[in-house]
Amino acid sequence: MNYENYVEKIVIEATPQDRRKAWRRATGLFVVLGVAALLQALTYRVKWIAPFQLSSLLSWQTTMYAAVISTMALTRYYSRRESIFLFIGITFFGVMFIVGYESFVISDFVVLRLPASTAQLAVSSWTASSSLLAILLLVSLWYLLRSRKNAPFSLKPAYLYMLTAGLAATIVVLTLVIRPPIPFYGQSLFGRPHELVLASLFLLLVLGYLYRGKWRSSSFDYWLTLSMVALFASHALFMAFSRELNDLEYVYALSGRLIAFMLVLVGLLVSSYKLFKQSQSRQRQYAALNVSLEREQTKSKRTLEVIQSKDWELGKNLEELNITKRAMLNVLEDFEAEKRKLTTEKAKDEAIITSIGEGLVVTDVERRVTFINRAGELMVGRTLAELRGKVWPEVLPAVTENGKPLTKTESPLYRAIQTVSTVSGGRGLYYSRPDGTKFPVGQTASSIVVNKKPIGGIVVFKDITVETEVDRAKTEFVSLASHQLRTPLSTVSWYAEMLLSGDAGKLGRDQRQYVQEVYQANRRMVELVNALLNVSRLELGTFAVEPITLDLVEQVKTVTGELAHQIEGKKQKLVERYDPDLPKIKADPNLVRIIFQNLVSNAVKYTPDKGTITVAISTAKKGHDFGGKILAKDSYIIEVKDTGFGIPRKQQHLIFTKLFRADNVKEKDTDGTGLGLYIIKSIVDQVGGTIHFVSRENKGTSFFVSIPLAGMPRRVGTKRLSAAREHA
Amino acid sequence: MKNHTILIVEDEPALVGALKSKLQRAGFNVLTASQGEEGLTMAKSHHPDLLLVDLLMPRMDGMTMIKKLREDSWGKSAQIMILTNFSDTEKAHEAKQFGVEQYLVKTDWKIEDVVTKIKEALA
Repeated sequence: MNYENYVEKIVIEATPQDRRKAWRRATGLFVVLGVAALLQALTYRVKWIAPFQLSSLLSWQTTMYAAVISTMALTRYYSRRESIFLFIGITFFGVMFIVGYESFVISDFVVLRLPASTAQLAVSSWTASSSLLAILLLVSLWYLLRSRKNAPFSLKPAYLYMLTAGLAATIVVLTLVIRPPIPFYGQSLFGRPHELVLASLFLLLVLGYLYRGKWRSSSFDYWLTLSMVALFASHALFMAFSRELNDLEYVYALSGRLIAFMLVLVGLLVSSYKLFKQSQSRQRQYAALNVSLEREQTKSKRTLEVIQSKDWELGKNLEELNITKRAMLNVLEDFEAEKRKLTTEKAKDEAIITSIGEGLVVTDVERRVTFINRAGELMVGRTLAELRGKVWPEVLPAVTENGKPLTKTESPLYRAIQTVSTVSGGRGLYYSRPDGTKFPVGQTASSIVVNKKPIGGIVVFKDITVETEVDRAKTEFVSLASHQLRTPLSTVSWYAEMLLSGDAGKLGRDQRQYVQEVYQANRRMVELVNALLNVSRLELGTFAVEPITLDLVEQVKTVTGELAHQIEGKKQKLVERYDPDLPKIKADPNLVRIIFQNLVSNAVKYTPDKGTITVAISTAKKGHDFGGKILAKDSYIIEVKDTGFGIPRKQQHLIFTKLFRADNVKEKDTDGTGLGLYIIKSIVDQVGGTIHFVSRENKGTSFFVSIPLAGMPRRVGTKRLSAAREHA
Repeated sequence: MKNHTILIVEDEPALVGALKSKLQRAGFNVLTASQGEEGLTMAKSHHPDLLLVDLLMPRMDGMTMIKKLREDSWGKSAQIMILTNFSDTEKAHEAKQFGVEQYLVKTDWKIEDVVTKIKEALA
């Protein structure tokens, strides 16, 4: 460390307080030096020889001090490990012995018994003790200065002890061996010039400690420095000028040494006290710290408790979560299992739907395609991708034979969704393929219902080319067969007529009768052929319904007109009850005529002479009781009542079957075909009406027919049913 | 009263006989043909006032004959009545297409009424 740094250190580190203390202490050092100098200057000329007792006393006191210092210092070192006190302790321990020896040697007791030459011993011991002191203190200073720079190197007390012992022994031997040629120069100014050597050592010590600078902050260092100054003064200012043993200077020197040792002691005491004070305050600090620590501890303990309880709660929550998680995993597993099941079932269903041979189209409630199966795709020659989202009847309309498409309201799909029911497409409908070809299609439309509301529609269709062909063949066969049957029948009929009208000559009574029988039988056959033709057409579903607006009353009057002759002949009474406001009906005239013909002619046929036939036509609302049955919709109602033979109860359930004639009428009248009611029932069922009857044997029968107010729906067909004989 | 000529095109001889007899009795001139080809030739050559045509005949059936007749300059306005035992709405519609209004099913009509119908048609 150079000088500048040193000054800097002092200047920078020092607070004003410190600076004041430093000045005070510096002043103290100078004061001691000054006082010593002053003392010497003032008493320079005084000649006085002290008794040995005084010197001895001073030396003994010095020894005591050395002992106390050594003890205190070593105690301090062993309790606080401050190395300087080790040095002080050991040094003064060694010094104690030498000064003790010195005080022994210069005591009256010893001196007076020893030869004069041994007076040297006193001087030697002074030198020895000072030398030891100086050297050891220099060693300590060196050590302290060294340890400031780097990490302090460990000091083994043992080595110091050995050094001290060695040094002490050496010094003692030397001083005993080496005697100054003249103990002191009585006349010259410097009585003991070798003292200056020692003085310079002490000066070196002083400077060294000043350099170290700790005298400003450490009390002990300061007092030590003070004692160095005192020792320096003792050697340089007093003993150096001593010419004889026990002269004033000698006594001053001894006193100075004593004062120096006292200063060290004071330093020890002060620093110990300071230490004690420090430790007290520190203890107080610690106590305060302890209290706050305890407070912190309690706080943290409480926090810990809170955390613990939270932790426990968390643990609980975690447990619950785990349980929930496990439950959810279970549910998930179940779901997965269900899903797998559903997927397999769905796959099965899809396989089924895909595999069915008929076309299946699924639409939404707006009739837009959502699905079509494979068979459907193949049949119509379009894929699901092309059809999806398009309105089915628009992209693939059903057309009639002549290419006329069904209207929206006629479309079975539309009707199925609107009425939430199943609707069959009827015959004579075709679908067209993208290449323009057509194929006859049989389709059934139904609506998909969820919570009683339609959410979509399904159309199942199939290519009925084969069936159509078969039907066509059947129909043609039937037509042809009936034609072939009719040809001979018409021959017989006309010739019989011509005979009866006398074209071949007037007939005798018997002749006329016979021809009449032939003619009647022939007529029956014609009727049978007609009826069979109708039945086949009804069964094949090839008959057409072509409604026009007509007046029911008109139609029935035509029929009653035709039968007027018969009614008159049997002297029967015809009662007609027609609703005057009867609205016109949309119906096929042919079918209406067939219905009326059958009902009224049956009534006439199966009622004996003088019976009554009643025909009533009106309209009724839904819910009306019509002949014992509740009407399902607003309808036209027709009642044909007779007072005839009735139908036996046991056979009533057979009345609408083909070729059935009740036993009670078969005997009475061989004329019927047994097909009439079957035909009417088929017609009425087809047009959405109802027919039923009430009958009591021998009392009469009432037939009740209802036709919906909306009329007969148009039906595409190839044939018309045959009504009975027409008139010019 | 000018006597109208009726041409009967019918393959069943018995029926031809009955019709012819009845029509003659009513004062008509009657010509007969037993199948379509013959009927066509006779119609074109004799220009009858009315034709009674049966539908089901061998070789050329009634409908084909009518079609062919309609191609003829005189034939297209000839009066034709179909008299058949073949009751078929399709056929009736087809007949209307060729301008034949009357489609009678033999077994439905008394022979007398047929004659009346003819008289009405010619009136």
